[in-house]
Amino acid sequence: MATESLIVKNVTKTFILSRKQMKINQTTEKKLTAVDDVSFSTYRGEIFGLLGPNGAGKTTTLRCIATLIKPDKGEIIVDGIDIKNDVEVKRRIAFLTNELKLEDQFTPNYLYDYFSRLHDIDEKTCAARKKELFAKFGIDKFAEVKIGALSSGMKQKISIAISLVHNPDIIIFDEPTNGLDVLTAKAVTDYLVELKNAGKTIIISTHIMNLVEKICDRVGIIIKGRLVLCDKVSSILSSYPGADIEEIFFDLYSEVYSEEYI
Amino acid sequence: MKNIFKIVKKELDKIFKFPRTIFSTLLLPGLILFVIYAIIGSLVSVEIDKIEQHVGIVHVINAPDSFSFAKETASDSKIEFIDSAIDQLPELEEEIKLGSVDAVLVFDENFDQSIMEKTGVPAVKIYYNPTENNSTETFNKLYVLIDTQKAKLLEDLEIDPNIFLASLEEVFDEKKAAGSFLGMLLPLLLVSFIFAGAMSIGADAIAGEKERGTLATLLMAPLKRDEIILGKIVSTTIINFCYAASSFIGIIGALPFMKSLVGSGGAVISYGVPDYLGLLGIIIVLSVFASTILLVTSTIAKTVKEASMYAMPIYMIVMLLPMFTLFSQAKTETPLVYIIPVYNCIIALKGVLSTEIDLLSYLLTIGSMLIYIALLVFLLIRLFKRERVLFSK
Repeated sequence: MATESLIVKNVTKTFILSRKQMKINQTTEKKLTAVDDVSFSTYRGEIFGLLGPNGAGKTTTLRCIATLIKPDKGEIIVDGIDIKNDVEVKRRIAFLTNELKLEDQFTPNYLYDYFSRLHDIDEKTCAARKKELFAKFGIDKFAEVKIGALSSGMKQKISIAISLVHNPDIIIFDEPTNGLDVLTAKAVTDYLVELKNAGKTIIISTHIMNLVEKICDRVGIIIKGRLVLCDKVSSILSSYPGADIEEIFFDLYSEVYSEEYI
Repeated sequence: MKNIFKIVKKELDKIFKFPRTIFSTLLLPGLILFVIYAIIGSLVSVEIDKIEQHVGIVHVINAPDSFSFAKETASDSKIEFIDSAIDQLPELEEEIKLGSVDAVLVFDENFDQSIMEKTGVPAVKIYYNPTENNSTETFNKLYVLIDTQKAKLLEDLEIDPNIFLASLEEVFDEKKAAGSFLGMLLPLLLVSFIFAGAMSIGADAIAGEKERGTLATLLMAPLKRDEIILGKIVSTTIINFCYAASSFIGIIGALPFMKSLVGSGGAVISYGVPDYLGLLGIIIVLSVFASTILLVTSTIAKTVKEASMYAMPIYMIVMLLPMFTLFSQAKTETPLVYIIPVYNCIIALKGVLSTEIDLLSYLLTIGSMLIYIALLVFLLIRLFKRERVLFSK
């Protein structure tokens, strides 16, 4: 039986809304439940996808796992360690989202070395891994160019490489192909599969249905903060004969909203 | 501790690795101040030289014989005397206003005769323009000449003009004299440099990183949040200290050009090692305090603009404080004032510069500032752990 690399148990996260946010969300409620009693587990050597529309709670769930924010309720265990021990958890995971940026005035080389030092990686290992990652993503060509002068695709490649400086066992990517051109997007998804084959756990959040069908082993569908379905992609597809993930997702989406309406 | 230094090193690299930032953060502040003060000092010197070289045009009406000595030595005192009639006076007054004539001397008729025969007390009127530098300088020279004329007349009347002698004996401590000038100027300059530097550097250190999305990247590194904030405080203080030092060196470098303005200002070199260490101690706690308090505003703010807006009232209050001490003596303060943040550093700086401060007051200043810094660091760490503060949008 596969080992659990991550356990998310009954996690709830609420946010207090400012007046401005209440206006944007068109609500009079001061509290927003972004994640509502979510539970799931992931295993080594798999790609787990969190699928949901914008604002469903995917990123909030991932941010809780990454220790950036604390859940109000529930428990998250990463590689056997409770997220309360945030420093140890961060040694074991890579977390990448579009919100995480690199400083424009430095070069990829400098930042890679800096984050390696923060992860206490010795110089020899750092140099070898940098060579490998920079070659994989073609960063070596612009390793000495300031980040500010690079395109968004190049920046994304550097962010991925830097998030992996410590060769973590659990890799969490929030919308990994967002804003990337097709070639870079393919390089990223191919690399995720490669990491999975190397025994790593990959957790991605996405709203691109076909990415889930293509690379994910299991998927959790999250709508309005609730995990409405969580299973193997193959099992889900066989329970809805003739339907693809997109159709299944829209069925579930209508169900959640019609329940609320009733 | 190791992690704190890793952060400090990267923050310092941001400045010291790039010639442009070295220039803008470290050299430019000092250079600008040096150029400004050197230009002001030079312009004032040129103006003073001009006034000294100017030959004053003085019209004399009813000039008595007793004033002829002044005319004979006119070229020495750089005055040109022109005899005029009383009916020209209104016209001459207009010329004084316009600056083409520097002064008019109007003696009463039969001036000498009235004095010698003791038939009255004759008058001499000096018309001059106090808004014109040349006219004022000429007036001063005329005043001396009239005094000399008075003495000569007293001699003629066989009255000793020196019936008593007044002499000035200046008793003062040289260090204290130089210190009182520096004590007036230096705290104002240092506080403004330290807080101005901390304002721009501090605003960017956290609010800037939040705005650019680089803080979240740092938060994903295996570091405690206390380590991140301490790294930020240490690096901001170092950069801030360099900024203040650069400004200070700029001002000190411009002192030779400002001699005409500050007189004994160059006496700064007469201090000993303990005085310099005393100054350094105050400057360091003030720099750390400025960095920490402005990092608090930077942490609360979402953007650099917002951080600068929050920092402005602090900067304004701090800039007002040296004004209260500008003309006061350092020694008159009660011990309690040495625990008022920033104000205590200003009066302690004055005290060290005039060598009047006692050890207790000095330790009270440093000790209380360290307590305020510790409280601010505690607040910063608390703020840094709050999601709403770090991730608010």
